[in-house]
Amino acid sequence: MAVCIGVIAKENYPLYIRCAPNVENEVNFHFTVHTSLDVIEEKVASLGKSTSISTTDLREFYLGQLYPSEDYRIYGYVTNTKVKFVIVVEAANTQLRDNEVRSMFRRLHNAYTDVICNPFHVPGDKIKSKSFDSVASSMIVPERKKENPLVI
Amino acid sequence: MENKATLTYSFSESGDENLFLTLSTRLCDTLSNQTVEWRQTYGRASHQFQLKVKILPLATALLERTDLVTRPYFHIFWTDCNDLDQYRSTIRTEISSWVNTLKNYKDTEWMIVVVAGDILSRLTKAKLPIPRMSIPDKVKSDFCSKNPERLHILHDPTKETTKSTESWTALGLKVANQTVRCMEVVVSKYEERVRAERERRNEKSWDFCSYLILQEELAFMYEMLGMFSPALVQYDELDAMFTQYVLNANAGDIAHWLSRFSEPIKHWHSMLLWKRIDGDARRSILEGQASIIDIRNYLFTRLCHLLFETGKLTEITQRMHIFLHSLSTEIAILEITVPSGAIDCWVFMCCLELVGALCRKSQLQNETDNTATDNPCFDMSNEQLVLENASLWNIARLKLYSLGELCGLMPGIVTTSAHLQIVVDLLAGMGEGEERGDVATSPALVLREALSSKNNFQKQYFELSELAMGTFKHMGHFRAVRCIGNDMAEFYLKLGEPAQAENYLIDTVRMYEADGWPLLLAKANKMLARCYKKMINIRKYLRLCYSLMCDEMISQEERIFYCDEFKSLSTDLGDDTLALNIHPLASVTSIQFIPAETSLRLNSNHHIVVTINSNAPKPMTFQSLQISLDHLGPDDGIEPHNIPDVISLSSFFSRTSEDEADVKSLLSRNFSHNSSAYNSLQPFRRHKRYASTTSSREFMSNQPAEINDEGRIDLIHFQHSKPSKFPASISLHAQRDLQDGALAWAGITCRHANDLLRRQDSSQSQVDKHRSTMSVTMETYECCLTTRQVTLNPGMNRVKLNAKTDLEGYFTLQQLRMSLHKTSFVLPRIYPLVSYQVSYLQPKVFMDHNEDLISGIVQHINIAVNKGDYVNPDQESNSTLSFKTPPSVRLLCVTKCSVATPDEDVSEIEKPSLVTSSDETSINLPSTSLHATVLLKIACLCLTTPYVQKLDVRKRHRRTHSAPPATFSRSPKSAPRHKPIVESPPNPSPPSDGDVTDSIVVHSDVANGSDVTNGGDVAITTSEPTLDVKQSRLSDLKDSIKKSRNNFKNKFSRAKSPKPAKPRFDDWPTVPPNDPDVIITPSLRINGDLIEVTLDDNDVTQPVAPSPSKITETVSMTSYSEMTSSSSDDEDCKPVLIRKHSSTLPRHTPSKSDVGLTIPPVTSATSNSSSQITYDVTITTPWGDASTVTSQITCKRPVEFTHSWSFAGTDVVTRILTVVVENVTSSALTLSEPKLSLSNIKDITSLNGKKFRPLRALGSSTFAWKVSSSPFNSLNTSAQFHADLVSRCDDISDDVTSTVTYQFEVDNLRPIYTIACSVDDDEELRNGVMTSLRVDVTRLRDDPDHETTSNGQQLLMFQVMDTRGRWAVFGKSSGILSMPASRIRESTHDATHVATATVEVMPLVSGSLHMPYVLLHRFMKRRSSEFDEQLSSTQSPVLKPPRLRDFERGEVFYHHVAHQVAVLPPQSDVTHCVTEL
Repeated sequence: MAVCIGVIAKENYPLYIRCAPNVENEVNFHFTVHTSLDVIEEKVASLGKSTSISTTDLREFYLGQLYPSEDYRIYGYVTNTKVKFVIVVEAANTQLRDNEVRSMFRRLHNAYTDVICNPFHVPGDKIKSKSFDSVASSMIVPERKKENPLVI
Repeated sequence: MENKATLTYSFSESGDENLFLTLSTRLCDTLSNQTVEWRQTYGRASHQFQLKVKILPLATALLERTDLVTRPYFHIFWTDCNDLDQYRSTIRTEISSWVNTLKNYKDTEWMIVVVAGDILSRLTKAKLPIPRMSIPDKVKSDFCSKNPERLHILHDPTKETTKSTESWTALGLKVANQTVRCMEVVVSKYEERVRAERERRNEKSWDFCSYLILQEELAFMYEMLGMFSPALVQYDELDAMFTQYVLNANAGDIAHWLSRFSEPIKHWHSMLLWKRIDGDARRSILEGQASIIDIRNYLFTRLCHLLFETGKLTEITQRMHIFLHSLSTEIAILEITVPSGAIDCWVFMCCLELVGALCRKSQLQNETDNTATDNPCFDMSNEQLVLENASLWNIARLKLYSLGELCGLMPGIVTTSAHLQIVVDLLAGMGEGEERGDVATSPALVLREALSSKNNFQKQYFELSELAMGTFKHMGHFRAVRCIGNDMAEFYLKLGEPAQAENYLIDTVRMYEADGWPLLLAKANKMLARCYKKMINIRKYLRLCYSLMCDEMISQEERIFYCDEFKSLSTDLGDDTLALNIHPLASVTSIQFIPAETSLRLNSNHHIVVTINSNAPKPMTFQSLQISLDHLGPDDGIEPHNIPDVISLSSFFSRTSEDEADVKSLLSRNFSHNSSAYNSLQPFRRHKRYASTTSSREFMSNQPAEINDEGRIDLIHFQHSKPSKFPASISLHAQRDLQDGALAWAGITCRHANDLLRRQDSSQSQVDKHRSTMSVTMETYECCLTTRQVTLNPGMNRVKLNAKTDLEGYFTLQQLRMSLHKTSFVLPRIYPLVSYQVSYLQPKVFMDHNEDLISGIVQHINIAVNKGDYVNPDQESNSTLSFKTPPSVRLLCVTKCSVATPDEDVSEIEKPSLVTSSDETSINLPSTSLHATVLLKIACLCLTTPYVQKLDVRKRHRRTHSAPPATFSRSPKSAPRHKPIVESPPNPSPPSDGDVTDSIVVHSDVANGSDVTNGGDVAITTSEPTLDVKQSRLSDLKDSIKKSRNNFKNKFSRAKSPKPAKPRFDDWPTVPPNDPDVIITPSLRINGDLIEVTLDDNDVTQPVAPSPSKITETVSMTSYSEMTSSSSDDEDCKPVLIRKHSSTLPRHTPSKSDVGLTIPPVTSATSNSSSQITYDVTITTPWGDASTVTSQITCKRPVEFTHSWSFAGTDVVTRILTVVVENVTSSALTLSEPKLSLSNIKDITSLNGKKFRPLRALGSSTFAWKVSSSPFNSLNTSAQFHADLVSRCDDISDDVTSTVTYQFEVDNLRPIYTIACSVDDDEELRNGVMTSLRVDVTRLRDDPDHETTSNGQQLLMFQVMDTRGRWAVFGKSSGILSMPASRIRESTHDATHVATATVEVMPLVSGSLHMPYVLLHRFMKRRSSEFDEQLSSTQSPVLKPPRLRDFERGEVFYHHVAHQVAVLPPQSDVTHCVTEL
């Protein structure tokens, strides 16, 4: 499952970033997620170019894998309001299929919608919702330990 | 080298080998132009392709080949034999053996091609050949009997004839089809075999490598046929299979053959994309020597190759990442021992290899675009390709970096032998950098060089980084650029070149700031801080330390570290100072005034408490905390809160009541700018319209904030800069209807309203939150509040400052700064406006009294003394207040003393004593707290002034006829309360005609019912004519007199001049010319009975504004009469201040009405207005400049006086003098010891009883004296009435008395004439019976005013009248009496001075009747100037006839005034009455 889940606002500042609990250097994930914004922007721009105006509403939110790194795979997802979701998956986790990632994004999107629907949530504020947290943490499993690679 | 399908050829030995080679070559060409279809099994799509073949001579080795690629699929036997015999002898055998050879090998097709040359055809034609005997026939019958297809006749192969071409085409088609069919069969069979082999994969003997080789054959086959997709599938399958095995191994299912891969890897050659097939790798796989790297290398190389062939670059770029990154995972899974760094080397080399390949392909693509050949077209744009290159470079960079770390090549690390050993090992594993034909440097060589030395490493590293950065930058991937830049910076830092790193880091910091990533920003800041520290840029380093020590994203330890750094370095700025925004360090949340008020006194002790929330990681001590102030002095004039340069709309409309005033002021301000059509605005309904809920928050108000109950103002923290689009002002307009003044319209004019009301984004970006606003503008701290040594602990802190109160004015708090050595933390603006006012209160002394004081009795005045903000320079504890009063005001004692503090607490304190010296009274003020008010109540006594009346009775009240008996009342108001107490019986003597009713009226407060006492209190009005003079105060005159009151105050003031003022007319013009008030020239004329005074000034008709403090006394009648009388004497119109409409002075006109009953009071006018005297009291205070205060005490006269002078009885000599004292105050008074003194009459008998006479409020009391005058006395005398006013004061033991004095004149002590009336037959006077009335007029003394006729007679006119219908007068009722004008000698009663007249009268009613009324008139003396203008001429002037005048009161004495005669009813009436009864 995911090692890091990020929600990034329209203006590219982080609304929510959660990493797996045993991650040593959280800041690297921030770097990773931040750098992935480049690719997201590029992809969104190319999507916008390719699709006509009438179909913008129907466009695919899921952007697929953004870029691979040695250790992680990064997937992106952009909502209509240009809120970006980024899921970082360990590269070693080869069982995760594209469809599962999609469904994770969908769940994340629903949870985010719930957060936004909260009348006490100020749009643009950082997400501090317990329910969103629980959804996010359900997608994050403890990183597999290197010493025991056979245990999933 | 390209694979081609293999065909074999054989030929008859007799044939020309060269010819057949030529033919074979031609066949190849023919085939390559043939399109054939590859039909695939299992419903897979068929594939069209051109078969490319190579034709080899048949060899057994070839036939024995079982692989797909190199095995021959088709065999051709060429023969050009024309000769049957030859055929039979040799060729047949040859063919037979050839066929037999082929038959031993399955899956082959063959064909016999008979070349029919020209010769042959010619021969057959010539010889008429027998069809069955031709060679082809023979061959057919011998070998191809079942399958004639296997024979082909090639006609004239060397010639370009139609036949030749046709036969070639047919041959090609045949060969191609048959070959392909054969191939299909073979491949199909091979696939079956592969499948079977795959099914065996779980068997122990199964081995992936051999399987790989097996299946790869298919791929080769397909590749050979140009079917790249199926070929790719083969590799994909292999790749997936291998991956799956690895994954299974991870899951625990380790295939037995995998264990071979677990051996330590010793070689990490790069994949070699420049070769089509890496032979070495394949060989090692075949040999079972391959490591996982070899297998991966090989598979990916092949995949790449195939993908390049198909132009699927996208696929490559996707796969290459998996390829590059999965290896390490797989090695980890398989627990293969790899030297550290080996994988990095491999990845590095692979990356470079890929980059090289991609570049080549890219170049190729460009070339193909140009040449437009049909090479495969790539599915990727150049940009994408470049981007992929960049990411590859980036990966390579990272790997190189880690290699550098591993091998000790990083700057700052000493390379050890261990490092060198590693390098050697790594290089050994990489293999030799093989020579390449087309590529200059192989990746392995690059890596070798990079690892060879530090410099090379750096060079290589920077090269790669720059390449990657440049490309990313070019593609707009700035975040990736910053990532690399970060690493570069770190490298430079390690290299010891911080200046190089700075630019990268600044870019990075900016990027993270702009994107709002706090954690990354913190990291970048830390690096930048390190960089600046190395650069020894203290200023910048301090800034970073500051922002880092407040950064919550970094750990507490680090924050403390930076905090300490800041503290220790803040001294090292040299002469420079550093101003930092206070924002991240602390936030100033509120400002509190203690005590809770913003209007302060000068030098008062006030505090301002600033609440600061510190975010610092540890307590910080600042040298000072200052708040700069904007000082607006009291003389600057502008009320600061009335300059709304920016109007807060939110406060403007949201608050309801408080702002009403502001709105009005604002409105009026704007209206004043507009034309007059814009009337000023009455309160009008304001529309509560908010500009925008979100935007209203942004609006700034210049209104000072209000403090709450605790004196606190919560500050608003501005993170964003002030919105500049807000207009400077909004003007409001309104217009009123001209007719009815109703509001016609009202509106707001605002430019840029669209901007203001524009919808704002509902989600506020929080990017700015992380943007630190470091630079601040410092105010000048010339005027500031300061406190020293402030320690701020993390969390809430309260800092107390002393408010600046040593200056007067309006202070606005502007900026706050905390100084730490050379650095200061500044809150750039305190908002909302916090201001306070310092005012200086002057010492003040007030003196007042509740209402008008009443003279003569002890009353209290109040004095309030407030020291204000005055500070005694020499700290005297007590201070003396001294009063300077006029002598008539005496301060007696202090009755009450209390102190009122500013909090309205009033406490009574001990009474200070009054010290009275010659002209001063002083009080030692008690020492009080600051700003407390001392309230003193002082008993004082204002002495009454003598009450002077000087009335020239002769002039004022002329009466030629003696007044009839009258019952007169004091005033209409009090008349009903009077009732006669004693009624004198009808006085029988002297008998006289007419009915005269005597009445005795007692003037006393009978309404009180208590004061009626014995006869001493009763003033008896006898039947004699009385002269009743009422002290008049011409109130109507007063108003006009008031105006010029100040001008002749000295002349009129009785308080200052003991004698009645007697203004002369030559004094009148002495009105001070500089008097701005009024200049009035009144005129007076006597018009018959009226004295008319005209003020020929227009404003006379207007009421003159009273100036109450200055009007001290009413002009007395005395003064007035003096004036009027004078003016009467002089017929010239002299100015008199009398208002025209109010000065109708009635004179003695008894004949006009029933004078017998009431005579109106002679008072010309009555007034209730009090007469007042104002005294100046000068108070000298011991403080400051304004040491002397002049205040005024206004006193009211307590009593008013009237007197009457009446005859008593029938005696001409004895009279009663009555003085009525009226209390005009609303308090009860007590009078004692009334005394009357007349100037030259000693025979005075007091009729007053008790010593003390109480005088109720608004009541009056009468005092009477019996006066007997002797004939030797003069006619006039001055009288003086004294009485003591007694009042008590609680604090004085004795009664306090003051004397009230009434001075007046009494004249006509003796009458001129006496009238005695008598009726004949007064015994039997009957009703209706005529009788004669005898009137005897006796002159007692000279009358100087009387005109004397030429014959020395004085003429008197008498008139008998009765207006009440009691008497009827027959004949003449009036007549002239003549009397000699000779002097009367006293004591002689000469008959010549008696005149007698008789008038026939008849009583009309019966009973006791008064005599008819007899009025006397005299002729006034004429002056020589009185000429009759009509009668007289210039030669003979004729004097005017003398005028008839009444006598004044007291000049005529009626003997019979109380005398009544009894009138009997007529006789007939008596009988009639009897009968009636």
